[in-house]
Amino acid sequence: MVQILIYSFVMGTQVLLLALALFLVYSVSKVQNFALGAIGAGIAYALYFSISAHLQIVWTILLTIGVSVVLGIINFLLNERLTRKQEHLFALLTSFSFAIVLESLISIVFGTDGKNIIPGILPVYEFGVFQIPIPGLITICFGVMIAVLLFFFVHFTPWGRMLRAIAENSFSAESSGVDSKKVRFLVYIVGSFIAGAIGILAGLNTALTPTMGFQLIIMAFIAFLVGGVSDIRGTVIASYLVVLIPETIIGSLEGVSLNWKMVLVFAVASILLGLRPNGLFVRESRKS
Amino acid sequence: MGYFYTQIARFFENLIIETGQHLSISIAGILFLGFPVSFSLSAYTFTILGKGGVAISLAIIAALFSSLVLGVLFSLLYRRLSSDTFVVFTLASVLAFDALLRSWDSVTGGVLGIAGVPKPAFLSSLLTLVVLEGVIAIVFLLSEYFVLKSPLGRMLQAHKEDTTLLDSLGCNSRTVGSLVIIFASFVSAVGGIVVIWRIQFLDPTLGGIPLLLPMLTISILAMRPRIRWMAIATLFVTLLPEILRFFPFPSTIIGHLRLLFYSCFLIVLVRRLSSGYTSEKRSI
Repeated sequence: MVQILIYSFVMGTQVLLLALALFLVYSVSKVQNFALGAIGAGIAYALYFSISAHLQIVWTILLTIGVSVVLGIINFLLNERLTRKQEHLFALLTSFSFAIVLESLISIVFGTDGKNIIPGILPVYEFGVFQIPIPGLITICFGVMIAVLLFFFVHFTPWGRMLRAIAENSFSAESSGVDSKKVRFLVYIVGSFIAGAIGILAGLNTALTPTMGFQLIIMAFIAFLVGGVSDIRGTVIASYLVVLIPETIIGSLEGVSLNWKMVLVFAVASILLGLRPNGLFVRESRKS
Repeated sequence: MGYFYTQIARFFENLIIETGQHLSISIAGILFLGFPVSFSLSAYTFTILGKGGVAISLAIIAALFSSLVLGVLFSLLYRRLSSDTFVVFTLASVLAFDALLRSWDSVTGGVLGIAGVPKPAFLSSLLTLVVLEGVIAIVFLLSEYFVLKSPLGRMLQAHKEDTTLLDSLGCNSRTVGSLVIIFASFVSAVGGIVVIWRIQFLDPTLGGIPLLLPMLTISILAMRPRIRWMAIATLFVTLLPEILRFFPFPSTIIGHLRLLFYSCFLIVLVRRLSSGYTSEKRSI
């Protein structure tokens, strides 16, 4: 049971980080960006390519960062005009199509079979009778670090204040001299980096597949929506709930394979959204 | 002639499925992405019951009924959730149902699928199937035509314009949206059955994203409430990937190329035609 908890905590942290990236992008653009998952997968595949081509460490890092920046820029350019015109559903469609483009390209170039970023069995950290793989440990440490950094960035820096101002009211923020386009550009690049880190960590924890980004982003979206699009607390709790409950069910019942996870995640989300459609901690306010 | 009949059959099948999506996405402005679930659910229900010895007619009724129930569930969600949440949730349902089909291999055959789908005895040739699909497509097109000309059609167009205004005029926008979602589910279910009658094989890849993308493309392309435009858009999108036949691509990447093709086309369409999707009212 504790092993299930540890695994759920690792997976939940991945979902949380991607949900945080979604939260950031949604805050500044009001667009639910589907492409972040596929961008994460693309960056992970770029790292896989560098390692399998035996590139030097410097070139590996440069290529990975370069791919992150390029994909972030493309994502921004595809959505910016639609964001400014407040055509949010169309921007959602565009980001979804971009995600399919990336997945298809990955499938064509690398194939659909699972790939390991680092070949061989990765070391496992043992504490007592419990085990946690090194990538899982890195995920948790990275997750805590990113969460703290993001909190500091959003609440204690000028850029963070601009981000919050745009999230509240982009027109007022622009009239006060805030360049919302620059802030959105920065957020898209940061979101791309976070997604890339999650893609790499997910690839290290399990295996690289072209559709891993889509599955991750759907879980992140479910956590984001179940938690409430305007409430970060709900997103944090929902990220772990949507992973923990299905994992606990699968671990408790015999003969239930991991393939049922997505079905259970969907079922849990349906129940939670049916009970709290606006989010776990968000109360419905009067729409005047 | 087999290739020719197959393309006509594909056109009619897409036309049948698109009738529902045209009403929901293009006319009413409801981005209902769960129709591939109805498509797959009806196809699998029919196949499993048919191969289990149930009469074809009863299997058809059961398949359509199951998708109707699914449509009702989706409509209940639509009434409860915001539009963004509903869109994401219906997309998640596609993924979840795909996972269900792959996991429940004792019933669905898993990734290997089910071969030898039963079909009615009178459908002995592809030509008769094409004729049947044509008749069904015409029936649905006429239904959509009369819906668009009716007060319901005007309500659907008003739903896309301004739901608050629609509510203030005494029409329940949520009920209107629910009706169109149920209809879209039903129509997708009919499409699912006729498709597997032609292909005679069923696996999880039949519905899902490969069905979602072309239908979305047609819905965005045929934005206006015109049946003619919908039919032309369906024909165009159905035949467009056939260009790939002229290139010597390996068979392992053809499916991914088609998805790539459709998604790039959808991006271009959305960016070029997005202004036509929004309401007719002037933004002050």
